[in-house]
Amino acid sequence: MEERFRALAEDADRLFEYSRKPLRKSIRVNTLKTGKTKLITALESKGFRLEQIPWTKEGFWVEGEGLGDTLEHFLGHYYIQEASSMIPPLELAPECGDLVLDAAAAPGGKTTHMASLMENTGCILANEPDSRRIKALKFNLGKLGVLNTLTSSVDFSKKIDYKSRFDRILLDAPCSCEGQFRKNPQALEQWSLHKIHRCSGLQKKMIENALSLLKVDGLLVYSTCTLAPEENEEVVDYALKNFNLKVEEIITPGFRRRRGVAEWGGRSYSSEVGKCARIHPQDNDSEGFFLAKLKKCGH
Amino acid sequence: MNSKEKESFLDEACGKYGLNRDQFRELVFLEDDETVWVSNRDCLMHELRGFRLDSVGMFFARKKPKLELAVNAVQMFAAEAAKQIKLGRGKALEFIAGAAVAVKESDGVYVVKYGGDALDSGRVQGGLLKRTSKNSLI
Repeated sequence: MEERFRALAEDADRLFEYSRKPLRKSIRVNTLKTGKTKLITALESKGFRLEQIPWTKEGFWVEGEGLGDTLEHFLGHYYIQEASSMIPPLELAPECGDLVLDAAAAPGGKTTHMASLMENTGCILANEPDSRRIKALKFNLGKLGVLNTLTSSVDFSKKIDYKSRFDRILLDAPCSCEGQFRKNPQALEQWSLHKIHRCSGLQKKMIENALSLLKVDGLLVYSTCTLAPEENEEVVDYALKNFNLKVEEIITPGFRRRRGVAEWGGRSYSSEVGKCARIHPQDNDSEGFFLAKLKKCGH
Repeated sequence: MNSKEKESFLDEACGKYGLNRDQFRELVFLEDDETVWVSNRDCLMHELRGFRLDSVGMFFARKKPKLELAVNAVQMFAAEAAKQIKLGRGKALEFIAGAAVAVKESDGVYVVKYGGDALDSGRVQGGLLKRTSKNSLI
């Protein structure tokens, strides 16, 4: 693993250092139920210290204990969410009235974020194939006051042949979670090359199925919380070879990012993957993350 | 629910909790034998057959043994309810933890508020207020 990380980052020692640090707690204000000023006042009066996350006006890093035990949390006024996870919905930027697919939605952090960006209009299909995880998804949708979402349990790794075509799709794919070592030491224990290759195969099937449901001129944001190129640039490269797509630049301001890698493990990818964004834990003192924005072109 | 069923359901729900009926004008309600769900109209405008739908919108109420609003529905739609009890912070925390809280109101069902926010519904019996919808959390 160390060798791989050294090949990915010239500042690998900082990557290791940050991967061992505890993760900063962060929240997103749920604008479907409250306002930012009201929530800041309420949390600061309880002794929490809030710091604005630069890439989203609804996001804050929070210092203080008991963030899950406040009245405001019970009321669904905020969602405890990792700061880098707030980027994919911002990048997808769903608009009021859109038909949106969240292909791997549980536990619902990004779905509820999109619902608030859409002001509870339009329609989000929040899909989660795991029946245990769909319960958590529905709990969070209800708690945050989401009215524009349907839930479903389609397995996106299997062939899908439906007539629906979506304006925007978020595919936050299941992955080997290399970016989550700070939060989830189990991910480190369970790390293996075999897992990376297994995830990569699954992700290619998922992106293929998701893209088949996207409208021409529609947008798909593909994201993972891993750093492995096999699960990131290689999946995007696979999509580019099989669909008529354009990779769009990631435009959300305020976070440090690296460009996608064009070569890995003896393979060369399309130069377009350079437009993808890699976020290493040391870049923004966050989880590691990857995202790509794909636009479907006509024939 | 068709429009007649919706009106009849709202008669009962708004009557029991003192909810403002206008806020539901643009929303649609769906029901099975035991539960009621609420969603925006857009959610029903798309052909999504084949997606094995699990739920539509937000869980709104349980119908049996008697109509009981879900906690999420109270928080979302009942802040302006006519039948309300306002609690201070200490009592509000006790109430949501499931404790019986002493109040002056007469027996009946109320929307319980803290500050400007509806917390949940509660039933007053003999000067004690208790949550009614603990089991409404999905």
